[in-house]
Amino acid sequence: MMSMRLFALINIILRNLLRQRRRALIAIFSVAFGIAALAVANGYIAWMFYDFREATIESQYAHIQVTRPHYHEEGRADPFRFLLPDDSAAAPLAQLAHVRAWGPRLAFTGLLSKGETTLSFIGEGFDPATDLTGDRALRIVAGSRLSAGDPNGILLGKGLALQLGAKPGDAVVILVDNPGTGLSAIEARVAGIFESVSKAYDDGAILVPIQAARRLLKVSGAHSWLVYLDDTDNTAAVAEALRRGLDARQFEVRTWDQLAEFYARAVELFRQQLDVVRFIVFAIILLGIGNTMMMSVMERTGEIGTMMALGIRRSAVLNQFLAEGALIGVLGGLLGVLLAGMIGIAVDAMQIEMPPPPSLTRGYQARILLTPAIAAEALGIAVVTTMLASLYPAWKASRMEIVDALRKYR
Amino acid sequence: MRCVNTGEYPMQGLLKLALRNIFRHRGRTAMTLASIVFGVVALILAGGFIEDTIIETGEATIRSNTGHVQVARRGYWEYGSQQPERYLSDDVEDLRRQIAAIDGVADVMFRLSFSGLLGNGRSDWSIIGEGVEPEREARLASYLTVVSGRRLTAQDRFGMMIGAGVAKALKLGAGDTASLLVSTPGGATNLLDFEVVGVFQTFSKDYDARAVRISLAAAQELLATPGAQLGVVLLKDTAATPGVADTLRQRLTDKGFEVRTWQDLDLFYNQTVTLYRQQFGFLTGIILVMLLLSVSNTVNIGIFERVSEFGTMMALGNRAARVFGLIVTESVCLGLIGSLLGVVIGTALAWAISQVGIAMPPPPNADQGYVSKVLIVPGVIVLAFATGLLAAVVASLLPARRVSRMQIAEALRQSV
Repeated sequence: MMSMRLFALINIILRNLLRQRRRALIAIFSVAFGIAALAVANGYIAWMFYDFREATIESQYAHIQVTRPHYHEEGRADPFRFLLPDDSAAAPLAQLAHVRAWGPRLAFTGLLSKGETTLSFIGEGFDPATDLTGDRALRIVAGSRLSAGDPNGILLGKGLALQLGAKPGDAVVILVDNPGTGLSAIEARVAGIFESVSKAYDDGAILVPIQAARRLLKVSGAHSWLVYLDDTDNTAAVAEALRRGLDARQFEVRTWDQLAEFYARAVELFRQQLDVVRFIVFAIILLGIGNTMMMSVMERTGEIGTMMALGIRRSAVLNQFLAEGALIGVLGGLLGVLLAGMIGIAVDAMQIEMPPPPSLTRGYQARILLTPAIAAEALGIAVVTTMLASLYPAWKASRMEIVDALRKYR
Repeated sequence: MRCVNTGEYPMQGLLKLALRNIFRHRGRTAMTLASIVFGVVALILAGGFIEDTIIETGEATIRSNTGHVQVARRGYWEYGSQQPERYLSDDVEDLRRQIAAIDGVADVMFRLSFSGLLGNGRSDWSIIGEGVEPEREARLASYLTVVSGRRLTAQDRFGMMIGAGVAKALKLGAGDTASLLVSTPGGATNLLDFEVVGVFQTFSKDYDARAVRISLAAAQELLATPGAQLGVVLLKDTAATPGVADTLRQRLTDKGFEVRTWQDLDLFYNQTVTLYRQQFGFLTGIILVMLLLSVSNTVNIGIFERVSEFGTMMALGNRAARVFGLIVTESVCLGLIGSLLGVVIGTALAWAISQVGIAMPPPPNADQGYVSKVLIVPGVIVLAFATGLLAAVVASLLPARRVSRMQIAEALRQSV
């Protein structure tokens, strides 16, 4: 019985929409356009966040870092108090599910000389075999990557290399002043010059094989173990497993989202701006659809009078107009998502290179990441807006005096 | 000669008729106006907000560190600070007098920068140090806040201010002693102890992470040189930057100097501007198309309700062109009224919002949040007005053409 009535309602609505084809089409298209604009904006920003997130993880923080407790707050001021044990202690890391690779890092600062010129640097020792392997993690702009068998190679940040006047193949001297054990220096050969996402980092950074860093600092451990996963979504689960497996008094486990402050802030700022765009689109759809629904009601005053004169209840009239709004919303929303999908394909095909965002060195390719969540949200907004927009006219229609309404029939 | 699209009547008659038609359909007119007004207001607010962000970013850049214009020996920015031949001159006072004589210049200050290691006894941190003239810098750096301790003075021969990032890395605070290791241009290394007098924070976290400031005299002693490398020019008004930079280039290029403005120096500012311009372009596009659809919706409905009216007009001898003109005029009136209303409301709102201010979170590279305003920008207002009007006019063209081409008999038959 219920479904029969629903079917009848849908039937009437469809007929009404078909009867007023042009108006229905305009209404549907304005919803579709608004929804497409919203979904494209959302999808573009989702892609930007995704790309930015993966780049941040691969090139800067890895998915998870294991350190001595409070290393991130106090380690730089007193690095020798926060040394991790030998690499053999980290062997269980590699056994965990979802772990793609891991590597030790040893941080140090010192002076780098080439000929007469000396500059200070912030350096890190890493394992070239497992760490910073892809082009996305570390982009070499001149020379080559460090090979695992070359303990005397060194990579220079782009800005640092420029200031030092160093090219691949040049010999440089690394000087480190260790409290306690005094100065130590090694000679190294510039293997390559890298550019990371951050210009400020490139202006003062060097990377050396971990053996060289250990030789400089006269230690055998590391400051952090960087763990790379197969998929960012597994971060929380693996971090949890690590925390369970490691003694909390000796080790601290942090995930990339606890470390990547810049990423978190950029996301926060963009969210705000996106909310403004969303509100504007929402309001314009509301006004546009409200307009259409209003016209529809006014024009059909006579029809409404006839309906009510035939004994149809006010609530049924209200429901019918609301349902018409909802149907326009669903159709427009679906069309809008479809349109957004097509725009996404077009944008992919055009391979649009975007300029680098503030304080980053690298641009990125614009893409539209249309996740199911974004599509569902757009569809939901479409239905809610159109129903809201038809609320007032529908209510007005159902409040009409039957006699007055009938008299409007010319 | 007769004007074609006014038909039998003068233009004035058309306008009057159009206005009457608009006010006859009060509900519809209100809805359409609401869409146009909303779109125009949204554009004015968004545009004003973005303009404010851009200007604010610029001022933050200038007032944190860079100043309006910088002067250095040619090649300084490419090849860095280490080569001794990059020094400005031994007699910086003479250069200061030359630059200060230029109209619009408020002050000129000199800096001597160096790269070194700052140590706390347990660890070192790679820093970029600057010898500065503290009193003059204080006038420039209104965006530089002292987090703890005090500002540097010219009397501090062995005092230093350090960036918040440096202080955090080495766990140093006001009153602590730190050792500074630098290599002099001659190739020797020099180690001096300094007392931290204050910790500062600017708009750029990257800068704070490595910045150390000592007095120019102390830096000259440390590096064993009487000179400086960088002349920083503070202007009375940011808008005068290109003019002063041009004057400086004319006078100094021959003498082996290079002149850069704050916009040339700060990558962050340029990237921010590009990003915001893109966003605003996207928003304008959306609003334009949404308005187009919204207005064409109203116009369409209005027109098809009034087909018999137009049929009657044409049957009475009005030309098709006049019907076309009437419909378009109605839309133009709607667009004008809506856009004007939008401009008035948008400007008033922008003013009101600016009185209160919008609290913004800190940008990704900074620690300080700020209060944003919505500027009233003539360019944005013109753009918003034009967008509203354009949407209204374009939306009416197609339906107007269709109606004016109808067969009179058929149009008349539409009346029930």
